Amino acid sequence: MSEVNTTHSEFVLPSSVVSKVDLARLLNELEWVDNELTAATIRAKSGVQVHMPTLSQGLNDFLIQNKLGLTESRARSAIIAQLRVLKNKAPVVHMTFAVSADRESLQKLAEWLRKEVHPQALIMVGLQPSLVAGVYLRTPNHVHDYSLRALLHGQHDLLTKELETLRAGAKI
Amino acid sequence: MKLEGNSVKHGWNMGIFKHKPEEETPQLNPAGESVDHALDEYFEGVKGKGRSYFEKAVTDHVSVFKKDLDSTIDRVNEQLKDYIKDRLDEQFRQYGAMMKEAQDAALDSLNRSLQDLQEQHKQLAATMQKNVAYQEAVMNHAFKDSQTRLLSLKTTQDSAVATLNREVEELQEQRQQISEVLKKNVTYQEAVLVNVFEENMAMIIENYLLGALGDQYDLKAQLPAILQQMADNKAAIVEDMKL
Repeated sequence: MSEVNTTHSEFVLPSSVVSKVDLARLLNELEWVDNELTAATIRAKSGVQVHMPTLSQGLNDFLIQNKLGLTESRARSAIIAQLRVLKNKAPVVHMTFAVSADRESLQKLAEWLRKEVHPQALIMVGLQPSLVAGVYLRTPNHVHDYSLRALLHGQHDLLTKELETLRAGAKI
Repeated sequence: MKLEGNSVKHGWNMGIFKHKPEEETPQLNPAGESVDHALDEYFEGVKGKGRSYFEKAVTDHVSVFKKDLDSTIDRVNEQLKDYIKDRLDEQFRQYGAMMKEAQDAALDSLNRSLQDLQEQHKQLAATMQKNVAYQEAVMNHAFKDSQTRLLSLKTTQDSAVATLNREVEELQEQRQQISEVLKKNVTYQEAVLVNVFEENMAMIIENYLLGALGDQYDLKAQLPAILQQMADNKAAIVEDMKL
Protein backbone atom coordinates (compact mmCIF):
# COMPACT_ATOMS: atom_id res chain seq x y z
CA MET A 1 0.00 0.00 0.00
CA SER A 2 2.97 2.23 -0.18
CA GLU A 3 2.43 3.22 -3.82
CA VAL A 4 -0.63 5.31 -4.64
CA ASN A 5 -1.85 4.48 -8.10
CA THR A 6 -5.49 5.15 -7.40
CA THR A 7 -6.92 8.22 -9.11
CA HIS A 8 -9.71 10.33 -7.76
CA SER A 9 -12.20 8.63 -10.03
CA GLU A 10 -11.43 5.32 -8.45
CA PHE A 11 -11.80 6.40 -4.88
CA VAL A 12 -14.51 4.71 -2.89
CA LEU A 13 -16.14 7.12 -0.52
CA PRO A 14 -17.28 5.72 2.82
CA SER A 15 -20.93 6.10 3.80
CA SER A 16 -19.96 8.58 6.52
CA VAL A 17 -18.93 11.00 3.78
CA VAL A 18 -22.24 12.25 2.49
CA SER A 19 -21.78 15.83 1.45
CA LYS A 20 -19.08 18.02 0.02
CA VAL A 21 -18.56 19.37 3.54
CA ASP A 22 -17.81 15.86 4.79
CA LEU A 23 -15.30 15.44 1.98
CA ALA A 24 -13.68 18.77 2.80
CA ARG A 25 -13.50 17.74 6.45
CA LEU A 26 -11.87 14.45 5.41
CA LEU A 27 -9.36 16.35 3.29
CA ASN A 28 -8.56 18.73 6.13
CA GLU A 29 -8.00 15.87 8.51
CA LEU A 30 -5.77 14.17 6.02
CA GLU A 31 -3.72 17.33 5.55
CA TRP A 32 -3.45 17.65 9.34
CA VAL A 33 -2.30 14.05 9.67
CA ASP A 34 0.22 14.62 6.88
CA ASN A 35 1.59 17.65 8.69
CA GLU A 36 1.73 15.77 11.96
CA LEU A 37 3.49 12.81 10.45
CA THR A 38 5.96 15.05 8.54
CA ALA A 39 6.78 16.88 11.74
CA ALA A 40 7.13 13.60 13.61
CA THR A 41 9.48 12.31 10.95
CA ILE A 42 11.70 15.35 11.40
CA ARG A 43 11.58 14.99 15.14
CA ALA A 44 12.37 11.30 14.84
CA LYS A 45 15.74 12.17 13.34
CA SER A 46 16.59 13.83 16.63
CA GLY A 47 15.62 10.70 18.53
CA VAL A 48 12.07 11.52 19.41
CA GLN A 49 9.70 8.58 19.10
CA VAL A 50 7.12 8.88 16.32
CA HIS A 51 3.47 8.28 17.18
CA MET A 52 0.70 7.82 14.66
CA PRO A 53 -2.03 10.44 15.30
CA THR A 54 -5.51 9.18 16.11
CA LEU A 55 -7.69 9.07 13.02
CA SER A 56 -11.41 9.72 12.77
CA GLN A 57 -13.79 6.91 11.85
CA GLY A 58 -14.48 8.49 8.45
CA LEU A 59 -10.81 8.77 7.52
CA ASN A 60 -10.12 5.32 8.84
CA ASP A 61 -12.99 3.87 6.76
CA PHE A 62 -11.78 5.77 3.70
CA LEU A 63 -8.24 4.40 4.05
CA ILE A 64 -9.46 0.84 4.62
CA GLN A 65 -12.02 0.83 1.80
CA ASN A 66 -9.44 2.22 -0.62
CA LYS A 67 -6.56 0.10 0.80
CA LEU A 68 -4.38 3.14 1.41
CA GLY A 69 -1.62 3.82 3.92
CA LEU A 70 -0.30 7.04 5.40
CA THR A 71 3.17 6.01 6.41
CA GLU A 72 4.92 7.46 3.36
CA SER A 73 4.92 11.14 2.80
CA ARG A 74 4.63 10.82 -0.99
CA ALA A 75 1.60 8.61 -0.66
CA ARG A 76 -0.08 11.03 1.66
CA SER A 77 0.63 13.89 -0.69
CA ALA A 78 -0.78 11.92 -3.61
CA ILE A 79 -3.94 11.04 -1.69
CA ILE A 80 -4.39 14.64 -0.70
CA ALA A 81 -3.96 15.77 -4.27
CA GLN A 82 -6.46 13.25 -5.59
CA LEU A 83 -8.94 14.13 -2.88
CA ARG A 84 -8.64 17.80 -3.79
CA VAL A 85 -9.47 16.92 -7.36
CA LEU A 86 -12.34 14.73 -6.20
CA LYS A 87 -13.66 17.50 -4.02
CA ASN A 88 -13.89 19.77 -7.03
CA LYS A 89 -15.14 17.22 -9.52
CA ALA A 90 -17.36 14.88 -7.56
CA PRO A 91 -20.95 15.07 -8.86
CA VAL A 92 -23.28 16.74 -6.39
CA VAL A 93 -26.99 15.97 -6.10
CA HIS A 94 -29.07 18.65 -4.34
CA MET A 95 -31.75 17.04 -2.28
CA THR A 96 -34.34 19.22 -0.53
CA PHE A 97 -36.58 17.61 2.08
CA ALA A 98 -39.72 18.75 3.91
CA VAL A 99 -38.17 17.87 7.27
CA SER A 100 -34.66 18.01 8.60
CA ALA A 101 -32.64 15.06 7.38
CA ASP A 102 -31.02 12.69 9.87
CA ARG A 103 -27.53 11.34 9.31
CA GLU A 104 -28.58 7.73 8.95
CA SER A 105 -31.09 8.44 6.19
CA LEU A 106 -28.60 10.60 4.35
CA GLN A 107 -26.03 7.80 4.49
CA LYS A 108 -28.57 5.37 3.02
CA LEU A 109 -29.40 7.81 0.24
CA ALA A 110 -25.69 8.36 -0.46
CA GLU A 111 -25.11 4.60 -0.57
CA TRP A 112 -27.95 4.18 -3.06
CA LEU A 113 -26.70 7.03 -5.24
CA ARG A 114 -23.12 5.68 -5.25
CA LYS A 115 -24.35 2.21 -6.01
CA GLU A 116 -26.96 3.07 -8.65
CA VAL A 117 -25.93 6.43 -10.11
CA HIS A 118 -22.35 7.44 -9.50
CA PRO A 119 -19.74 5.91 -7.11
CA GLN A 120 -18.56 9.30 -5.90
CA ALA A 121 -21.85 11.17 -5.76
CA LEU A 122 -22.22 13.70 -2.99
CA ILE A 123 -25.40 15.13 -1.53
CA MET A 124 -26.18 18.80 -0.82
CA VAL A 125 -29.05 18.89 1.67
CA GLY A 126 -31.78 21.53 1.80
CA LEU A 127 -34.98 22.08 3.81
CA GLN A 128 -38.35 23.21 2.44
CA PRO A 129 -41.39 22.43 4.71
CA SER A 130 -43.90 23.33 2.00
CA LEU A 131 -42.96 20.13 0.20
CA VAL A 132 -44.97 18.33 2.92
CA ALA A 133 -43.21 15.04 2.19
CA GLY A 134 -40.91 13.47 -0.37
CA VAL A 135 -37.84 15.04 -1.94
CA TYR A 136 -37.03 17.79 -4.38
CA LEU A 137 -34.01 16.48 -6.27
CA ARG A 138 -31.79 18.64 -8.42
CA THR A 139 -29.03 17.12 -10.56
CA PRO A 140 -26.55 19.33 -12.43
CA ASN A 141 -28.96 19.89 -15.29
CA HIS A 142 -32.37 18.71 -14.22
CA VAL A 143 -34.93 18.99 -11.45
CA HIS A 144 -36.90 16.03 -10.22
CA ASP A 145 -39.75 16.91 -7.88
CA TYR A 146 -40.80 13.81 -5.96
CA SER A 147 -42.58 15.80 -3.22
CA LEU A 148 -46.19 15.36 -2.07
CA ARG A 149 -46.90 18.94 -3.10
CA ALA A 150 -45.99 18.13 -6.69
CA LEU A 151 -48.08 14.98 -6.49
CA LEU A 152 -51.13 17.00 -5.38
CA HIS A 153 -50.53 19.59 -8.10
CA GLY A 154 -50.63 16.81 -10.61
CA GLN A 155 -54.00 15.61 -9.35
CA HIS A 156 -55.90 18.91 -9.84
CA ASP A 157 -57.79 17.58 -12.82
CA LEU A 158 -58.79 14.51 -10.91
CA LEU A 159 -60.24 16.62 -8.08
CA THR A 160 -62.11 18.83 -10.56
CA LYS A 161 -63.59 15.79 -12.25
CA GLU A 162 -64.68 14.40 -8.92
CA LEU A 163 -66.38 17.72 -8.05
CA GLU A 164 -68.15 17.85 -11.40
CA THR A 165 -69.40 14.36 -10.84
CA LEU A 166 -70.70 15.35 -7.40
CA ARG A 167 -72.36 18.47 -8.82
CA ALA A 168 -74.07 16.50 -11.56
CA GLY A 169 -75.34 14.06 -8.94
CA ALA A 170 -76.65 16.90 -6.74
CA LYS A 171 -78.54 18.52 -9.67
CA ILE A 172 -80.26 15.24 -10.48
CA MET B 1 -155.47 51.73 108.69
CA LYS B 2 -156.42 48.82 110.68
CA LEU B 3 -155.78 48.58 114.40
CA GLU B 4 -156.20 45.14 115.59
CA GLY B 5 -156.05 43.72 119.05
CA ASN B 6 -152.31 44.00 119.33
CA SER B 7 -152.54 47.31 121.21
CA VAL B 8 -154.66 45.64 123.72
CA LYS B 9 -152.25 42.79 123.94
CA HIS B 10 -149.39 45.15 124.62
CA GLY B 11 -151.31 46.87 127.22
CA TRP B 12 -150.77 50.50 126.28
CA ASN B 13 -154.51 51.17 125.70
CA MET B 14 -155.08 49.79 129.04
CA GLY B 15 -153.48 53.02 130.37
CA ILE B 16 -156.75 54.79 129.56
CA PHE B 17 -158.31 53.05 132.35
CA LYS B 18 -155.49 53.65 134.71
CA HIS B 19 -157.41 56.44 136.37
CA LYS B 20 -159.31 53.62 137.81
CA PRO B 21 -156.66 51.48 139.47
CA GLU B 22 -157.68 48.11 140.38
CA GLU B 23 -157.96 47.45 144.03
CA GLU B 24 -156.69 44.27 145.42
CA THR B 25 -159.39 42.29 146.96
CA PRO B 26 -158.52 39.95 149.68
CA GLN B 27 -159.29 36.39 149.06
CA LEU B 28 -162.12 35.51 151.28
CA ASN B 29 -164.04 32.49 150.84
CA PRO B 30 -165.63 30.60 147.94
CA ALA B 31 -168.48 33.07 147.99
CA GLY B 32 -166.01 35.87 147.54
CA GLU B 33 -164.34 33.96 144.71
CA SER B 34 -167.58 33.90 142.79
CA VAL B 35 -167.87 37.66 143.17
CA ASP B 36 -164.40 38.11 141.85
CA HIS B 37 -165.23 35.89 139.09
CA ALA B 38 -168.30 37.90 138.21
CA LEU B 39 -166.28 41.11 138.33
CA ASP B 40 -163.69 39.68 136.05
CA GLU B 41 -166.36 38.74 133.60
CA TYR B 42 -167.80 42.19 133.84
CA PHE B 43 -164.49 43.89 133.24
CA GLU B 44 -163.84 41.54 130.45
CA GLY B 45 -167.12 42.58 128.84
CA VAL B 46 -166.28 46.26 129.36
CA LYS B 47 -162.91 45.70 127.81
CA GLY B 48 -164.50 44.03 124.83
CA LYS B 49 -166.94 46.87 124.39
CA GLY B 50 -164.18 49.44 124.73
CA ARG B 51 -162.08 47.60 122.30
CA SER B 52 -164.81 47.38 119.74
CA TYR B 53 -165.65 51.04 120.31
CA PHE B 54 -162.03 52.02 119.85
CA GLU B 55 -161.69 49.95 116.81
CA LYS B 56 -164.81 51.45 115.33
CA ALA B 57 -163.58 54.98 116.09
CA VAL B 58 -160.23 54.27 114.56
CA THR B 59 -161.82 52.75 111.51
CA ASP B 60 -164.03 55.76 111.07
CA HIS B 61 -161.13 58.14 111.42
CA VAL B 62 -159.12 56.15 108.97
CA SER B 63 -161.83 56.22 106.40
CA VAL B 64 -162.28 59.94 106.89
CA PHE B 65 -158.56 60.45 106.71
CA LYS B 66 -158.42 58.33 103.61
CA LYS B 67 -161.15 60.28 101.97
CA ASP B 68 -159.42 63.52 102.86
CA LEU B 69 -156.15 62.23 101.57
CA ASP B 70 -157.70 60.98 98.35
CA SER B 71 -159.45 64.29 97.79
CA THR B 72 -156.19 66.13 98.59
CA ILE B 73 -154.26 63.96 96.18
CA ASP B 74 -156.88 64.52 93.50
CA ARG B 75 -156.67 68.26 94.02
CA VAL B 76 -152.92 68.19 93.97
CA ASN B 77 -153.03 66.16 90.78
CA GLU B 78 -155.42 68.53 89.20
CA GLN B 79 -153.34 71.52 90.20
CA LEU B 80 -150.16 69.81 89.02
CA LYS B 81 -151.79 68.98 85.70
CA ASP B 82 -152.92 72.53 85.31
CA TYR B 83 -149.49 73.87 86.20
CA ILE B 84 -147.78 71.52 83.84
CA LYS B 85 -150.25 72.24 81.12
CA ASP B 86 -149.71 75.94 81.58
CA ARG B 87 -145.95 75.53 81.51
CA LEU B 88 -146.11 73.33 78.47
CA ASP B 89 -148.44 75.70 76.71
CA GLU B 90 -146.08 78.54 77.51
CA GLN B 91 -143.08 76.54 76.21
CA PHE B 92 -144.97 75.49 73.11
CA ARG B 93 -145.90 79.06 72.45
CA GLN B 94 -142.31 80.12 72.82
CA TYR B 95 -141.08 77.25 70.64
CA GLY B 96 -143.76 77.97 68.08
CA ALA B 97 -142.75 81.59 67.95
CA MET B 98 -139.09 80.65 67.56
CA MET B 99 -139.91 78.05 64.94
CA LYS B 100 -141.98 80.54 63.06
CA GLU B 101 -139.18 83.07 63.16
CA ALA B 102 -136.72 80.44 61.98
CA GLN B 103 -139.09 79.30 59.25
CA ASP B 104 -139.62 82.84 58.16
CA ALA B 105 -135.86 83.44 58.07
CA ALA B 106 -135.26 80.23 56.17
CA LEU B 107 -138.07 81.04 53.80
CA ASP B 108 -136.63 84.49 53.17
CA SER B 109 -133.22 82.98 52.58
CA LEU B 110 -134.67 80.41 50.22
CA ASN B 111 -136.59 83.09 48.38
CA ARG B 112 -133.45 85.14 48.01
CA SER B 113 -131.47 82.12 46.82
CA LEU B 114 -134.21 81.26 44.41
CA GLN B 115 -134.16 84.76 43.04
CA ASP B 116 -130.39 84.63 42.70
CA LEU B 117 -130.65 81.28 40.98
CA GLN B 118 -133.28 82.56 38.65
CA GLU B 119 -131.10 85.51 37.76
CA GLN B 120 -128.10 83.30 37.25
CA HIS B 121 -130.20 80.93 35.19
CA LYS B 122 -131.34 83.81 33.05
CA GLN B 123 -127.78 85.01 32.63
CA LEU B 124 -126.56 81.50 31.81
CA ALA B 125 -129.37 80.98 29.39
CA ALA B 126 -128.50 84.23 27.68
CA THR B 127 -124.81 83.32 27.59
CA MET B 128 -125.63 79.85 26.29
CA GLN B 129 -127.80 81.25 23.60
CA LYS B 130 -125.03 83.58 22.57
CA ASN B 131 -122.48 80.76 22.64
CA VAL B 132 -124.74 78.42 20.74
CA ALA B 133 -125.35 81.05 18.14
CA TYR B 134 -121.64 81.74 17.88
CA GLN B 135 -120.77 78.04 17.72
CA GLU B 136 -123.45 77.46 15.14
CA ALA B 137 -122.03 80.23 13.04
CA VAL B 138 -118.52 78.87 13.44
CA MET B 139 -119.64 75.32 12.68
CA ASN B 140 -121.51 76.47 9.61
CA HIS B 141 -118.46 78.28 8.44
CA ALA B 142 -116.22 75.32 9.20
CA PHE B 143 -118.61 72.89 7.57
CA LYS B 144 -118.71 74.95 4.40
CA ASP B 145 -114.95 75.29 4.50
CA SER B 146 -114.48 71.53 5.10
CA GLN B 147 -116.93 70.74 2.36
CA THR B 148 -114.95 72.85 -0.05
CA ARG B 149 -111.72 71.28 1.08
CA LEU B 150 -113.13 67.77 0.87
CA LEU B 151 -114.26 68.41 -2.65
CA SER B 152 -110.82 69.66 -3.64
CA LEU B 153 -109.22 66.78 -1.69
CA LYS B 154 -111.41 64.26 -3.45
CA THR B 155 -110.42 65.69 -6.79
CA THR B 156 -106.76 65.55 -5.79
CA GLN B 157 -107.16 62.01 -4.47
CA ASP B 158 -108.82 60.87 -7.66
CA SER B 159 -105.98 62.25 -9.70
CA ALA B 160 -103.42 60.78 -7.24
CA VAL B 161 -105.11 57.38 -7.35
CA ALA B 162 -105.06 57.46 -11.11
CA THR B 163 -101.37 58.43 -11.06
CA LEU B 164 -100.62 55.74 -8.50
CA ASN B 165 -102.41 53.13 -10.53
CA ARG B 166 -100.34 54.05 -13.55
CA GLU B 167 -97.18 53.98 -11.47
CA VAL B 168 -98.14 50.64 -9.96
CA GLU B 169 -98.61 49.18 -13.41
CA GLU B 170 -95.26 50.60 -14.49
CA LEU B 171 -93.61 49.31 -11.32
CA GLN B 172 -95.07 45.87 -11.86
CA GLU B 173 -93.70 45.84 -15.35
CA GLN B 174 -90.31 47.05 -14.10
CA ARG B 175 -90.36 44.51 -11.30
CA GLN B 176 -91.07 41.76 -13.76
CA GLN B 177 -88.25 42.93 -15.98
CA ILE B 178 -85.87 43.26 -13.02
CA SER B 179 -86.92 39.86 -11.78
CA GLU B 180 -86.14 38.30 -15.12
CA VAL B 181 -82.79 40.11 -15.28
CA LEU B 182 -81.99 39.11 -11.71
CA LYS B 183 -82.84 35.51 -12.41
CA LYS B 184 -80.55 35.54 -15.39
CA ASN B 185 -77.79 37.23 -13.38
CA VAL B 186 -78.22 34.87 -10.46
CA THR B 187 -78.03 31.87 -12.74
CA TYR B 188 -74.97 33.32 -14.43
CA GLN B 189 -73.31 34.21 -11.11
CA GLU B 190 -74.13 30.78 -9.76
CA ALA B 191 -72.49 29.17 -12.74
CA VAL B 192 -69.47 31.46 -12.43
CA LEU B 193 -69.15 30.81 -8.71
CA VAL B 194 -69.46 27.09 -9.18
CA ASN B 195 -66.79 27.16 -11.85
CA VAL B 196 -64.51 29.28 -9.66
CA PHE B 197 -65.20 27.03 -6.75
CA GLU B 198 -64.42 23.94 -8.72
CA GLU B 199 -61.27 25.50 -10.09
CA ASN B 200 -60.10 26.60 -6.66
CA MET B 201 -61.35 23.61 -4.76
CA ALA B 202 -58.36 21.54 -5.78
CA MET B 203 -56.08 24.29 -4.50
CA ILE B 204 -58.06 24.55 -1.29
CA ILE B 205 -57.85 20.83 -0.68
CA GLU B 206 -54.20 20.87 -1.56
CA ASN B 207 -53.50 23.69 0.88
CA TYR B 208 -55.52 21.89 3.48
CA LEU B 209 -53.53 18.70 3.00
CA LEU B 210 -50.28 20.63 3.02
CA GLY B 211 -51.24 22.26 6.29
CA ALA B 212 -52.61 19.10 7.81
CA LEU B 213 -49.80 16.77 6.83
CA GLY B 214 -46.88 19.13 7.39
CA ASP B 215 -44.25 17.79 9.83
CA GLN B 216 -46.17 14.54 10.17
CA TYR B 217 -43.50 12.27 8.75
CA ASP B 218 -39.79 12.25 9.41
CA LEU B 219 -37.26 11.38 6.76
CA LYS B 220 -36.88 7.81 7.95
CA ALA B 221 -40.55 7.19 7.32
CA GLN B 222 -40.34 8.81 3.90
CA LEU B 223 -37.07 7.11 2.91
CA PRO B 224 -38.53 3.97 1.32
CA ALA B 225 -40.89 6.05 -0.82
CA ILE B 226 -38.09 8.43 -1.82
CA LEU B 227 -35.78 5.57 -2.76
CA GLN B 228 -38.58 3.97 -4.72
CA GLN B 229 -39.26 7.15 -6.66
CA MET B 230 -35.56 7.66 -7.28
CA ALA B 231 -35.30 4.06 -8.46
CA ASP B 232 -38.28 4.60 -10.76
CA ASN B 233 -36.53 7.63 -12.25
CA LYS B 234 -33.05 6.22 -12.01
CA ALA B 235 -32.45 6.33 -15.74
CA ALA B 236 -33.13 10.06 -15.98
CA ILE B 237 -30.91 10.80 -12.99
CA VAL B 238 -28.07 8.66 -14.30
CA GLU B 239 -28.36 10.26 -17.70
CA ASP B 240 -28.13 13.73 -16.22
CA MET B 241 -25.17 12.79 -13.99
CA LYS B 242 -23.24 11.47 -17.01
CA LEU B 243 -23.52 14.78 -18.71
